[in-house]
Amino acid sequence: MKTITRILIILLAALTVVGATWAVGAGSSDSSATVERRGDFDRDEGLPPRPEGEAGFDRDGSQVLSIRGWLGFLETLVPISIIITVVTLATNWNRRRHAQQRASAAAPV
Amino acid sequence: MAVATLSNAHPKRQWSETMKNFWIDIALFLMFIVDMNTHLTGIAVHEWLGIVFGGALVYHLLVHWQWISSTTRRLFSKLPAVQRLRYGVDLLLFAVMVIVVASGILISRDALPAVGLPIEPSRFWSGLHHLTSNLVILLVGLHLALSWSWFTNAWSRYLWAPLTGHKVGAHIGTDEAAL
Repeated sequence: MKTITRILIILLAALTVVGATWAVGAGSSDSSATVERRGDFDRDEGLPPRPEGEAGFDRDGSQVLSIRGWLGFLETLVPISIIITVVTLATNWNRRRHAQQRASAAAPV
Repeated sequence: MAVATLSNAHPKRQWSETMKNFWIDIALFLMFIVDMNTHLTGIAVHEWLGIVFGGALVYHLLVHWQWISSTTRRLFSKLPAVQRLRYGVDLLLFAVMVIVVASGILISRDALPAVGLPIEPSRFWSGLHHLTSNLVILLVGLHLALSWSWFTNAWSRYLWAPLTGHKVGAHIGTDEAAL
């Protein structure tokens, strides 16, 4: 029962976010413009094109076993790694600084 | 004189809450990384995996409910700045993740038509999906970075130590610093 209540709270929060976004979308002039389907992923108007072009894709748009496909992981992993490194270094520096301040305050004059 | 039985000598290994959280978080992260790479998966796998990820996200929140509720209660009283920052990042990540999943469903080309729900994709949802999917990488990075010490401790205890045979003495909190 407790779990169901929690799930409902999460879904309600999600629904609130989607509802608010929908309201913003309804207000924008571009929202009603639908994308024309032509049966191809990249040629749909309004969608950003794939950066590497269309060659080498499977029927569903995948590039299984291609180098470009595997390099796609780096597009996600590199920014995440940079953020983790910067935040960890900043946190450690801040912790050391606080430790030094405490040590100097506690030291006898 | 004590007599040790064979079953006592080799107690059955039980998964602690932290260990379960650790492996669930690893699975979620791998799912996220794979789903973000549409070049590799193709659009159909991307869509179905995104829907599964939405469900896994609800489970992730349920697992960390204790931390969410206790931090929410303390939000307007005394709360360390790092916890406040983490709460803000997590709240924003939740909102952006919901928009990514919802907008992905609303511009679905394979998943929803496959179950008999044809969708008329709009430019608004399509543009929003691409915008928020870039933003979500930044927020996942921050989300991980703010819990990095918990993650490295859990990594040492549950992955590195069993592989190398080294004992890890550091205590790992369950929810306070969990992902």
